[in-house]
Formats: sequence, structure tokens, C-alpha cells
Amino acid sequence: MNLRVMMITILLCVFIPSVLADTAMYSPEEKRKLGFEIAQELRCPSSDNRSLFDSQTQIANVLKGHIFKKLDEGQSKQQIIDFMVARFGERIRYNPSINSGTFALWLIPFMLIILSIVGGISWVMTQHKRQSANEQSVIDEKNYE
Amino acid sequence: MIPEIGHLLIIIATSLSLLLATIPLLGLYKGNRYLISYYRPLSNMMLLAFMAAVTCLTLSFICNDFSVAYVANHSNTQLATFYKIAAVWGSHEGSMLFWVSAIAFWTALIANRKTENNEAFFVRTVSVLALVILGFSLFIIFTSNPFVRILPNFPIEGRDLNPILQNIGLIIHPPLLFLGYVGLTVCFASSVSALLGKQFTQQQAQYMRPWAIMAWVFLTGGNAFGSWWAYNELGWGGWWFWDPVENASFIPWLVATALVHSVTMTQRLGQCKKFTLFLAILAFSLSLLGTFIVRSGVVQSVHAFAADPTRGMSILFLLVVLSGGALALFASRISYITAEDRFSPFSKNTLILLGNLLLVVAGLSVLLGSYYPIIYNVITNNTISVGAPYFNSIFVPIIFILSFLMGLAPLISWQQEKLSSLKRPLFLLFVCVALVILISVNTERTNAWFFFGLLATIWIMACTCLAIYQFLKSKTKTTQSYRFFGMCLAHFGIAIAILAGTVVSHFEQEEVLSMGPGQGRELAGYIFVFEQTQQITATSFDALQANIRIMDLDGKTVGYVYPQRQTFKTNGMQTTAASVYSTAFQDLYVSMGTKLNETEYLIRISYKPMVSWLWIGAILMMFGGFFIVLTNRYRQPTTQLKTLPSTYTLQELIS
Repeated sequence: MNLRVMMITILLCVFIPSVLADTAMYSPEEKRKLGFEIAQELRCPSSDNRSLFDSQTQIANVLKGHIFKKLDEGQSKQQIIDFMVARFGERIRYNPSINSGTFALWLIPFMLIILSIVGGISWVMTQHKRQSANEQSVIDEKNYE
Repeated sequence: MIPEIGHLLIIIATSLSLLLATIPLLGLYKGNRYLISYYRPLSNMMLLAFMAAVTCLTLSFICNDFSVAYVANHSNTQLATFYKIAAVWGSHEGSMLFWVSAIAFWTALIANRKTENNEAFFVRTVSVLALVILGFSLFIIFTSNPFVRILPNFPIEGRDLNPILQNIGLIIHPPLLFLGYVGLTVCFASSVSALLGKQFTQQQAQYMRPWAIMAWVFLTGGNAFGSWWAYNELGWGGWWFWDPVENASFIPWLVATALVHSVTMTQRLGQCKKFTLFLAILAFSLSLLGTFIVRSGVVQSVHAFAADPTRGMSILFLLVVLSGGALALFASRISYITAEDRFSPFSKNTLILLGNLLLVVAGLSVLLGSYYPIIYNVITNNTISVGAPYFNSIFVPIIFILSFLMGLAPLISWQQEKLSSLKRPLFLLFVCVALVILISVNTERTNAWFFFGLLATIWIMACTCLAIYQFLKSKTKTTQSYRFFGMCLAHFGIAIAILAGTVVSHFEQEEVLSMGPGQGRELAGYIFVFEQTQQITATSFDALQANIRIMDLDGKTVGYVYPQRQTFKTNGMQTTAASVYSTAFQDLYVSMGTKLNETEYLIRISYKPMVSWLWIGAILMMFGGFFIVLTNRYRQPTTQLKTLPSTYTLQELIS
């Protein structure tokens, strides 16, 4: 008896979350917000430089429909973006993924920020030290005189 | 006949620029005053020739001379005279002519001013400007001549101006940007002039400073107006898209901002001379690079390069020659430039220097993001896109650090070392953080962007107010007061723009839905009722217009919006014209998309709080800068200048 209760409890613990995850429904408010967010991060395949959200072309409208259909199915943002990338290529995402090819794109700005702050401060410090050293030597000379 | 005269005038102006670029310089090196004295009449004649050429082009537009290719391609008999004149600078060829004429105008202004004891500096500046003009004029004559005829088969009615360009924006936006670029060209020329003279004095920096500020003011206006135009015209409701074409003018703005601060340091304290000279060259190079990117069509699609390779390659050639030459000169002459870089670790100087470095980093990061897809494509043959999410995640943190420096800098004096002066700002920082935490806790959906954006705004505003208070209390530096208040105004403008950007990003609400007559929808406390569709006929387009009534929740009518789908008569192109119901603190933005069925259309409704304050902020920045330049002219500090280190004189150069 005890064992059976335990088995059922364990089964419930294992299955319920996964069942819940599969059917994780978004509230209409969440769905709209997430859908817009995804559409804004994807590029319309048939216009110059517009997001799916902004574009009015036929394909953009179809893809927007797709996004919401997939949200209805309970897919996550990442799943939907991955699906779009698989279908249309890297070009469709405005937020490029981090890989060997885009490594520099993400790394260089951060390096530059750090370099400018550290470099700027250390330059000021050396200038300051040199200046104080000069002043010190002037004072020393005067004392010597 | 008129176009031929115009064509001839451009050739004459080009020859004059060649003379102006060589004769005065030759005079300087030969020590021949007679040759040097030519720089004034030559500048004036060159300006006259360019102005006459522009007049010829304008006349061709007004008289509907469609045998001229440029006129035929950008005008139509139906077009209002207003837009015909705007078309003079509305497209590639004309805008290049406008640009060169503006440089010629500024050159003449510099050539005709009092030279005090810096004649050699001015003469060299004018000559370098003439060299730039020469490059651009040759470019115009050989690849983008606005006076080329298409005979005998020319269109009787002309063609249409690009429908999106038929707007007030076209009349104001490009000229503002070009004037900004022209200002940067002048800074570039004076930087090269200083390098040629192996000396960059505080007085020379004082000449450069108003030019840099004017360039910055125009660039601010150009960018802000472009943003406003896109917001109202493109029908997608965004105010900044991080599009490569936008970035092309935004990057020079960032570097110009650094230049303005750096040249101020050089002028006041003789510091950061090398950095100032470098920034002047960099800002000009970036504006030229931006022009290349936009005009060659590289950005729309990597493959569109073939669209006009000669033009793209010509601008690239100019870029390489001018910037490459200037940078080579910079490298060879920089050791002669000696600055009094007496820096104290805790001083306004350090903060401004850090701010300038970060501005340049911000500019380079945007540059990298904008053109990375091109580089990536060349190397790997794959395409990627870099868009708003990337730029926001890189740019916003930099802006936040900059805001911190921007608030702190006015509170700390130059060359100060006492840590005790940080006591007050530190206290202020605590108050600001506490205030922002309080606001954030009481706000729905608070996130880090909102928190930091608000903190940046409140911090800058509080610090600026404190700085004004300290300044009024001290009452010692009366001569500096105009400049100080101009600076405060500009900083306030930035704070307001950051606030507006934060608020509109955080609180905007959007709805995309299908709507037809008789249907309504509630959004952000307003009810939008689609009353009817209406056919509208204008001179150049037919439009389908939706009359949408806006009511508040009590059912009282607030106003009407009339979004349109316009179809242009001449080329059948369809555009969306959004309609905005604008009040001081919010915009209700409605645009009409494609037809979904017999009666229903795709309608997009947005509620955008505080969006107008973005542009009000920009106007404040412009006023601040403009105020400094205006008062700068009246405040001729002749007594102060005498005490400055001896400047470069003609005799010195000759010997």
C-alpha cells in the first residue's frame, strides 16, 4: 500500500511537470507581448532592412502568423527563433548568435570599452606621476640652490 | 543653355579650387606675400561660381527642363514648386553639388575673416579646404554631373520624386546633415593645417572650437530630424532603427561630440592636442565613409554594390586619399605637437577624457555592428544581420557610463585633486539611486533598462542643477557664464532625450489587428473607432484613408486620426502614411496596412508616451551649442589671447 502511494507520488512528480511544460500555455497578454518581441528580433526576408514586425510584405505577414501559431502550440521564444533560422538562415535574426564567425562582433566592443577606461586612467596616472616627479625635481633643484 | 552654363561654372569653380589649393601654399613656402594674398579673391570667386551653378540647377528645375537627366529623374510637371527646389539637393548629384557649395561658402567665410596673427594657419586651412573641394568637384564632374543632358528622347512630363521623399523632411534633413559634414570638413582642414604648421596652439583651438560646435549642432539636428521624419513617414512607428544608413550619420555625431569636448580642453588648457587633431581627422573620415556606404548602395544588399560601382569607388578613392594623407601627415608630424598634459587623477579633465574615449568607442562599436555583415560576407560568403538587439546591448551600457561621467564632470573643477570635492556628488548619487529605486518599485514590469535609463536621466539633471547652483554661488567667472549655460542646456537636452527614450521603450503599448468600418478597440485608456474609409485624391497620389475616431473611456471624442495607404500616380508605388494624434506627453500613432478582405484592413495602433520629448531634447542640445557659438563671437578675448603662448607667424614659417 505504502509502496503504491509512493510509486504514484513519484510518477506524478516526474510526469506532471513535463505534461505541464508541454502544454505551457501563454496568457493572451503574454502571447501578444512575446510574439511582438520575436517579430521585432527577426528580419523580413523580402524587404531591405525591416523587422518582421514592421514589414508589411506578404511573407512577413505569413511568418508573423506562424509565430503566433507556434506560440499557441506552447513553443518557447528560442524554439521559434531556431525554427526560423533553420528555415531562412542566420540572416533572419537581428541578434546574431555567438559563434566563431561572430566572435569578433561581440568581443571587440567589450574589449574597446575596457581598454578605453583602463588605458585612459593609466595614461592620466602616468602623466600625473611624471608631472609630480618634474615638480619634485624642480623643488629639489631649488633646495639645492 | 542654362544647364551648359551651370556645367561650365562647375568646371570654372573646380579650376579655381585647384588654384586655391596650390597658389597660397606655394606663396607660404616661397615666402611670397603676393601669392599668399590670392587666397581671398580666389575663395570668393570659387564661392560665386558654385552659387551660380546651384542657381542654374534650381532654374532648370523651376523651368521643368526635362532634357537634363537629373531634373527628369527627380521632378515632374505636377510637382509643387516647393518640392522642385528641394529636389535640387534631394538626390545624389544635386546633394553633392550642395555639399561642395556649402564647403565653398564656409571657406569664403574663413578666408574673409580677420586673421589676427595666425594668417599662415588660415591660409593653410583654406587651401586644404580647396583641396577637398577639388576632390569633390572632380567627383561631380566625372561621375555625378547634375547637368548631363538626355537628348533627344527626354520625358515630356518628367518622372516622379521618390514618394517617400515628397515630404518636409527632405527639405530640412539632408541640408542639416550636409552642413554638419561641412563643419567636420572645416575641422579636418584646420587640423591638417595645424599639422602642416607643426603646431597646434590654444588660439588655433579657439578658432576650431565654434566650427566643431556648429558641425555638432547641425549633425544633432540632422539626426534628430531624420528620426522624426522616419517616425512620421515610414509608418512603422519606430524612432530609431539602427539601420546602416542612420548609423552612417550617427557615428560622425558621436565622434563630433567627443571632438567638441576635446577641442574645448585644448583651447582652455592646451591639453589633449593630439587627441583633438586625431578626432577632427577621424570625424571627417567617418562622415566620408558614411557617404560612401550610403551612396554606393553597399548596405541595402551586399550585391547592390554593382548598382553604381564608379560612384562608390570614387568616394572610396577620395576617402583613401584625403583621410590616408591626413593620417600619414598626423603620424609624421605628431611628435612636433607638444601639449601641456598636466592631469590630476580626480579632475574634470580626466572625466572629459574618459568620456571622449568612450564616445569614440561607442562610435567604433556602432561602426563595427553596421558593417560587420559586409565583412562577414566577404570572408565567409554567408550572410548575417546585425540589428537593434545587438546595438542596444552594446550601446546602452556605454551611454550609461557616459551619463555618469556627464553628470559628474560639471561638478568638479579643472585640475583638481581633492577627493573631498566628491563628497557632494556622492551624496547626490545616493539620493538619485534611492529615488529611482522608489520609482521602479512602484512601476509595473520594471527591468534593468528602465532602472538605468531613469537613473541616468535623474543623475544628469540633478548634477546639472547642482552645477548651476554652485556656479551662481561662486559668481567669479563671469566671462565663462554663456558657455557654461550653453553646456548645461545641451546636457539637459541629452537627459531629456534619454528619459524619453526610456519611457517610450518601456511604456509603449501596441496592437496590430484587422479593422473595418464600425469596429473599435481599446488601448491604453483610449478607444479607437474605425468610422469609415474614404478615397482621397491629391496632385501626385491617390489614397485610401481610414477615418478613425479617438475617444476616452467616458466616450468623449478626443480627436481624429487619418492614416492613409497612398498610391503614387506616376509609378504606382504604394506607401503607408501613418497618422499621429500628438499631445505634449503622448502620441497615439495609427497606421493602415494591407487590405485583408472586402472591408477590413490591417491596422496598427500604438500608444507612445513622451516620444516628442526625444526631439525636444535634441532641440535643446542644438540651442545649447548654438548659444555657445553665438556668444563666442561677441566675447573676443583679445586680452586673454595675448597671454597665450606665441602663435605661429608667417615670418617663422618663411625662415
